[in-house]
Formats: sequence, structure tokens, C-alpha cells
Amino acid sequence: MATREAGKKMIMLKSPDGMEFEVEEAVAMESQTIRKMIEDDCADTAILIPNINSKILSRVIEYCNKHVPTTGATGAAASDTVAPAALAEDLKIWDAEFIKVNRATRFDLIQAASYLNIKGLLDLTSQTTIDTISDNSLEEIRSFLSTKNDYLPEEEQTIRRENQWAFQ
Amino acid sequence: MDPLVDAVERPVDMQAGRPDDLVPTAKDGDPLFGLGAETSSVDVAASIAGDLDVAIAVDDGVLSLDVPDSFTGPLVDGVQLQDVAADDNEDDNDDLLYLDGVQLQEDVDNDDDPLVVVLPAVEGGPLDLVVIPADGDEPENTEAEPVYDYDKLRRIVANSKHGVLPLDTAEHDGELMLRDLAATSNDGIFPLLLLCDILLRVPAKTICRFRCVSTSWRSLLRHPDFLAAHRARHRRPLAPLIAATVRLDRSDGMAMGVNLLDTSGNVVKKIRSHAAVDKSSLHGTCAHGELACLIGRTDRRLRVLDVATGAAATFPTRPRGALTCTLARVPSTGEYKVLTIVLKRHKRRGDVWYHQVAMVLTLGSHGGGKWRGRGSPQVMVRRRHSDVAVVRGVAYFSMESCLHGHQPEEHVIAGFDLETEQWQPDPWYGPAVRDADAVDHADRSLAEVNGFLVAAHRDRDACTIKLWFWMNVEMETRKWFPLYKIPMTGLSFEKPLRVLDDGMIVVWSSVHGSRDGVPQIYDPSTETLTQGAVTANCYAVGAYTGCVLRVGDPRRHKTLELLAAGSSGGLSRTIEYGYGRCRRKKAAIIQSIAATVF
Repeated sequence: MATREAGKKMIMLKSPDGMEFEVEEAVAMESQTIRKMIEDDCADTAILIPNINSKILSRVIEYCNKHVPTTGATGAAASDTVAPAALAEDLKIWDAEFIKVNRATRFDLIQAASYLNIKGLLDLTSQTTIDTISDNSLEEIRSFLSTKNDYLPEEEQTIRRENQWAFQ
Repeated sequence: MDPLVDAVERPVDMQAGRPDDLVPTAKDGDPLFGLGAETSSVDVAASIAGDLDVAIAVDDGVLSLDVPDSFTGPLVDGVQLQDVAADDNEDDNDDLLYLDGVQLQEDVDNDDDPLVVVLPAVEGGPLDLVVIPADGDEPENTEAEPVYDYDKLRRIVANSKHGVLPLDTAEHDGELMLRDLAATSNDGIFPLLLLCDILLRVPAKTICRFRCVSTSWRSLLRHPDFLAAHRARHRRPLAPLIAATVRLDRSDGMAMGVNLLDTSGNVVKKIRSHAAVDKSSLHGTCAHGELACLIGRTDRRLRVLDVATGAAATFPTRPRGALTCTLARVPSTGEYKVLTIVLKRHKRRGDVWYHQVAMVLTLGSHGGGKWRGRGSPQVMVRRRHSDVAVVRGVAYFSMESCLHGHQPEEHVIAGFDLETEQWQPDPWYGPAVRDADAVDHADRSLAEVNGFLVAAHRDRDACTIKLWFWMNVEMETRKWFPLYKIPMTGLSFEKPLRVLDDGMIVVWSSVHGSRDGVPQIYDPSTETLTQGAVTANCYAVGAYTGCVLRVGDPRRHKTLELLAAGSSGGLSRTIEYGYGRCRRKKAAIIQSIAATVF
């Protein structure tokens, strides 16, 4: 384990396709799942992240790198000079750019965020998905999420009537 | 009058005792009254004292005020600033300042306006409020009264849980317990729990639409645990909904409906087509919590409408002489009761006189469908629905006029306890009425806001509404606190509805000379009033505290059980009269009705 300076412990993350990523402990601990592993001392050697491929994992790490609290990385003095509002605005723009990915990647990111328990990333990806499908028709939602319509026609009529106000 | 003066106005002390925990706390960097923390002391003086031309300087902890000769205030030059917080108070009052030897509070007997000065405690530091009596009288009471932090009080009101009806299911922190569903449904590309996590972010209306996507989605989206989690998550945007009873002009005459509005006045949901609603009247309506109460126009029957599902139940006719009905929930038992005040006429030996009698009807199982007379109030009370406020099971009424030896400046309040079904033994007093405001009894009203009793006094000359909150900020001590002073321009004020999390308040107003209503949001920090969309022909409004996602499931929801225990449509006779007699058949009856209604 390379320890470049005090307080900056490095962690090795391995994806199932054999790629290894060396990240700062603070960055890895953005994920509550990994944080738990580190706190339970299960992270002496590399941590294997199952079911998340290297492409998605690298994007997740990219996200965590951006979102790790700046005080830890640059010291309290530096963060005082940047107005928090401006910083948040910057992050928002970065997030919007980050999430401009195709549908499959986004779904993979949701699953990865859920597995790794990264609240910010889960919020971002889920909200984007919700925003995408909220205005779509039911048929579009079904195809978007690969869900089958298993209502009988009369059943669908009933349930539509029951929730009539939502279609107005 | 400087608005700041009112901001620190002392509440009227109704009882002995004094809350000590509410001395103002300076907020770090809080731009109090729009002044930035960097404001220099001299700037502050210029902007606050206005044409009084008082110069203030803080130098090395010594405050000096330079006042013109015409100002007859107390000697303030060179007084020492004291930091009193360090010695006796553990709260974060470190920045609280007192002026040495000067009483900080307005003398309540003194009609002159106090001078208000806002200073930073240290250069660039947080701002503090200091009040100096405007006249030169020696302060009689050397012990300083606390100055109340009204922002803090508003936050207490906003965070009060009393105004929100308890969830039907146990408290949830957003975690879901959906084991029974997880086994059955796993279609689509997401595992159920992940899907659930995503869908919890969706607003209520979209949830209802999504129920039509597939059967598994429907099972998930009407699962009580999902609804509870959704409610917990969306409490903030969902809570301040307004239920407005509106008149519909239809080809076959007039009918009533209920609109659910958000705080901007936009319609979230309309409850319309149900037959029971169509038959209901123009007057005598109220909205409480999740239920609305309507009175039949032609048959005078009482109808209770579940706003979430549109289900309605019919109850016995309204008593003769009753203007309005108030629907309320008794907190201790969970029962719903309807209260109305009827005017009875008596004639003896040529003399005619009137007295009021409270009539109570219990909805659901134990009432037996009978109105019960429950005694007269000690004073004549006003009976319009906007004059009745139900707070924790007690209905409060304002006194009708200056009878019974009460002075016109006294706002007399009579309370009826819905649990014991008795009038409270003595009428008591609302906030004192000052010279100009609310001398006319029509300018005083009562309301329930976030579980607190609120008295609204209208000052016609100043075009303002003052809202007094009856709060016990300390054990056993209740006082009227003037938390809001709302300017009213262009619209006439009807009632306050709800205090939002950030201390802003939603009030309902109407367009002059019509029944068109509009919600307005008042922000006390900026003193601005934001107007929402207009709803035509409103007859009663109230804060809606229910869950719009709820579906008819009588096994889980008390309110629906209640409706089932009443009656509906053609089954009305069977239920009303059969209910008391056939107790053993209770479950069967409820089920059969539930099947019919839902």
C-alpha cells in the first residue's frame, strides 16, 4: 500500500474484469459500503467490487473524486476562500455533464451507486431517470424500463379510473 | 411605525411566569433584517434610526450614541457594553448584549414607541437587537424582561407535529418492508428495492399514473409501506396542501366539489363526480385534516368526504337552525365528531329570547346516528365556520358581541371540549385589542395553524393583520405571541392556514366582494407577500394534512372505516338505524359496504 503522506492512505479497488484502481481512502469512503469494509478492517489488501465492470467503476471513482469534501484534500484554509455557493454551483454543472450518458450506462450507474451506497450518485442518477420518464406516456415508460404490461384490458380500465386525477 | 419596533413587541403576559429559554440568540452571520454582517455600526444607525439621526459608534467595547437635543431618551452616551451570556446562560447567547443600566424592553404600559437599534456585537460580527424605552422614565423594574426571538418561535410553530395527523402506519424513516412483494415481482431491469428507491422520489400525482404501468408496479405503489415512506420523504412539499370547497355552476344547478391546492393555488386534485358531492349545499362546509364535511342543499343531510379517495358517507340531517358544522377529531379516542351551534327560541309570558345550544354527532360506531344537545355557552358565540378553531379536541369560538359586561377591547373566547362534550367552565381572553385594531368584532377571528390556536386581529387603518399565537413556550405558561404582522393590500384576509418550515406563513384571502379565494405566502424576514392563483367560488378552506396517495383499503385506514360505518348511497337507511342494533354483524356490514363503496 503506497502511503504518500500522512493522512492520505491509498486503497486498491478491483473490478471483476481484472482492472485495478488505486484511490485515496477519503475518496473510496464516499461509498458507505467501502467505508464499512475499511472500518471493519477488511480492506488490508485490494477490495474486490463484484458485479461492477471497470468502465462503470472508473466513472464512479471519477464521481467520488469530484465529490470528496474539499477540506480533507486541500485544508480548511483553502476551502474558506471559495464561497460554498459557487462551489455547489460548479458541482451542479459538473454533475449535469457527468450524467450525459446513454441509458444502459445510466442504469449501470444506478445499480453501482445502490450497491456501493453512494447517496449523492444515487440521487443524481435516479432523479435524472425520473425526470426523463415523468412526462412520458405509460407505453414509453414500459419500454424504457423494459417492463411488460400485464394488465388485462378491463383491469387497466379500472385502475385508470381509480387514478383518474393523475391523468388530467 | 418602524416595522422593527413591532418585531420585538412584547407579548401580552396572560399569566404569571416568564420563559427564560427564549431570550434572543444572535445568529451567526444571519443577515438580520437584510443587513449584512459586514455592515459598519454607523451604517446601521443611519438605516435603522432613520430620520432620528442617531449616530452610533462601538469602540473598544464602549457604545456611544450621539442623539439630537430633541430626543428625550435616557442617557446613553458612553455606556458600557456587557456580555451577560458567559456567566449564567449555557445557550449560545454569547453575542447577546445589554446596555448597562438601561432597561432593554419596551414598557408595556408606555404607549410611546421604543427606539430600536441594531448593532454588530463586534466589528463584522453578528447583529443584535437592543430596545431602549423611548421616554425618559426611570425603569421601575430593574430585572429585564426577556426579549422574545420571534424567528425562533416561528420555527417552533413550523416544526410542531400537532398539526399533522399521525400516519396510519407506524413511523417510517424511509426504509421499506416489502418482503411479501419482493418474492413476487422482479420484472423490468431493476430489482424491486432499487426501483422502489427510485420511485420514492416521484411526486404523488405521477405515482398515481405509474400505478397503471403494470400489476407489480401497482402492488408496489399502493403498498402501505411504500406510501408511508413516500409520505415521510415528501412531507415538506406535500404537507401544506389546501382543501378548498368550491361551488360549481352546472347545467343542472349548483353543486359543490373539493379542490386540493398547493400553496401557490394550483390545483393538485379535484374531487368531483361523486353523487354525494353533487347534492351538497353552498353553505356549511369545512375541511379538516383528511376529511371534508358538506351539508346537503336539498335534504340538509350531512356528508363527509374523504378527500384522498373521493369516497363519501351520508349522516343524519343537520339540526334545524344550524348554520355550519365543524368536523373534528378527538385526539384521545381518534373519533370524529361533528359540532354545530343552533339557535333556540324561547317564549314565555310574551317575552321572547334566544339561546345557543351545542349539538354533537359522533361519526362511526358509537354515536348511533343521533345529534345530542350539549348545553349552552356562557356567552353568545359567533357561528360562521371561519370563527371556529379546533385545537387538540377543543373547539374555540369568539364571543358574538359586547354583552355580559365584557369590554369591547376584550376578545372573549369560549371553548367546547369535544371529548367530554362540555363547554369549558369560564370564557377566557384573547390578545388585548389595541386602540385602532380590531375594535369591531368582525375584525377578530380564530383559526388553527400547525396545531396552535391563532387569533387574527385586523387593523383597518393600517391595513394589516396581526396573528397572535397561543403558545406555551414553557411549562404551564401560555401567552399570546404576535408572530406575524401581515400587510393586506388589494385582497381581504380570510384566515391563516399553515406555517411552513422556513417560518413563512400561508394565509387565505379573498377578492373583495366575491367568493374567489387566493392563497398568499408571507415571508416575515423580507416582509413580502406572494400571491398565488385564484380559485373561484370558494366556500371553505383548510390545511389538508392527509396523504393524497392513499387508496381505499378499509382494513388499514381508520377514516375509511369511519366512512363505511356511516352510510353511503342507497344503503343509508340500513346502516344508520341498523348499526346500533346489530352489533354482532358489525364486521359483515362494514365489509359489505366497503365492497359497495370502494
